Amino acid sequence: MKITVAIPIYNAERHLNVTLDSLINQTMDSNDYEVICVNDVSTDNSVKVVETYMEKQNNIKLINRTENSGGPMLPRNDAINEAKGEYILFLDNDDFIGEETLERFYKSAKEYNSDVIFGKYIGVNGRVVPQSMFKYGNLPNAEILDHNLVFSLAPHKMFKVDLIREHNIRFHKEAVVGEDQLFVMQCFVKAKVITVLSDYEYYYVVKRGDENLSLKYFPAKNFFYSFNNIMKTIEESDLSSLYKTKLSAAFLNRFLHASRLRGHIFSNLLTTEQKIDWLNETKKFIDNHVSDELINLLPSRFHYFVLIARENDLQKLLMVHKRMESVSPNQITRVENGWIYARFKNTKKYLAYDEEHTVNHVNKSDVFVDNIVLDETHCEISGQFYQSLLINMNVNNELVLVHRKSGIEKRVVDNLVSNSGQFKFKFNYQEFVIDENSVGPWDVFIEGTIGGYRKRRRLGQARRTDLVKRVNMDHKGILPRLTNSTKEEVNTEKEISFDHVLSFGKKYIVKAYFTKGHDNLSFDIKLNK
Amino acid sequence: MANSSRKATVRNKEVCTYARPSKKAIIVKHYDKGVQLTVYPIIKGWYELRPVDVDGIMNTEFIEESEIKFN
Repeated sequence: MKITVAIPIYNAERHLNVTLDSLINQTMDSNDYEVICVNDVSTDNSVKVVETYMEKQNNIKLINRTENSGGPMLPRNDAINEAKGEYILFLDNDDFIGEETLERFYKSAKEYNSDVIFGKYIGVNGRVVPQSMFKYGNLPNAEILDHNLVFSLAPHKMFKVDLIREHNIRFHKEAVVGEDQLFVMQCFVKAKVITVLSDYEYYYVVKRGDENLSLKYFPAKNFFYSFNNIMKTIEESDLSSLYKTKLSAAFLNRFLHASRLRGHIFSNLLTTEQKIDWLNETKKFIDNHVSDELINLLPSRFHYFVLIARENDLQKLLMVHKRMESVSPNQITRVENGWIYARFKNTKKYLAYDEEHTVNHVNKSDVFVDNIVLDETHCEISGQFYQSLLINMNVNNELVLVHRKSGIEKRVVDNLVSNSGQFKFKFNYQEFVIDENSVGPWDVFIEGTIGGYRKRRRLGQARRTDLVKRVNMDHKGILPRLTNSTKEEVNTEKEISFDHVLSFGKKYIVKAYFTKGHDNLSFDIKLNK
Repeated sequence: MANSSRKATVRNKEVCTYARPSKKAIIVKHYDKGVQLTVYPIIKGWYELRPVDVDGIMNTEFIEESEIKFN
């Protein structure tokens, strides 16, 4: 048996036929896979629906639980215990799969010796599904960190049954929230090969409109069960210490970003007593799993939350959170090791504190190009670059030319104006047109740096609209407004090209243009043969 | 842009919609030529209709791109 498809079923009579219909129409031979439906004591006609399909195809099995388990965890475990397949795919009773899914999954899993394999999700009825890991094309051996797999911890994947059984990985009943994340993370950590396929529509996740789990209240202790165990899984794994740290930070980032934890504490959904309970458990979680090193790897928007939660001070947390929205440049005390620090002070009888927090996430920037002047050998660009929290700091602005293909960066460091927030750079094309490796597009950025903090913005889109007029007025060869960049669509009368740029004895064509769509400034370099 | 809806008109008589984006899937409804629909892109060659039952629960319904024209 190649594959077991496991479907936990609870009161699904309305849509279960679509799920099962997708299984009896698979291109894989029905002798090569089995479908295990685990009925969790449904009170509707789900069993009848399954039995109807059992009459149509003899590879469908039904397990009737005698006691409702309260979630899909134990039914999935029942299917794992009964599975005869080499692989097991978890399918929800609301969802369905593509007709070639099993055949394609198995073929790739055998070819790559995959321990875990999953494919492109399609969200139906407006359901949001993770996408970022599918932008790389098929990944025979995907990397958890490089390919963003911590953002795909849903169980709608195919797992090698031996991997699950060998490591005794199961769904935990205690894990009322994130039970699938714990299971998948355990498999990810143990897997030697994780395969991600993006060449087909593999799994359709259906929004039914009754997904009200997020509105249910869970005691904080239950909420943290999965997440404590996920961190523990990483910490106790055989992974290298550097990788453990990076993976813990990546998961923590996802957890703070996507879980309901911060929403519960900052919204008005919970009573103060409930919030105190949640913060208590959060403190325990942080004390057990979040070191200073890990905090430093998180984005600044989570720093104050973690640090104040560690103090278990709800009032301070709520106050700092509120004041985070209105941080001003006057509060900035220093910029060090890439972090912008602001002072938060409150001296009320019931709540007093005076401390710094990182505020990178509330630093906004704006950029504007006043002038672009080009001649046969040089380009001069001037304008303004403003960062909302750093107006009183000595930010060093540099122009950065980035070779789109290789990522090589050429920095122009001499800012010809010293006024804060203004820039003027002049550079010779020879600074980045060096040899044949330089050909292709170069994108132009401005980057402000101070104390290890960097803010980079693309240049060109925001610019004076009268550049063309000024060309006519002073005849200095100022770059006209260009409209697009692709070879086919470039209006040659509007772009500026210099055909005789010399570098190490070879002739190059340097073309300045504004990119199609984003309308930013780029240079395209070609060898002039 | 899976969430951007489009107005479309059914091209032919007796056009079927399906519970999955496949002609092998369970047929959901038939529409006559000229019927106006609101559709959402889902996968190549198919659009979804996002039908909602009286109790607010959403069903699934898909129509082939070749069976509709956009207004």
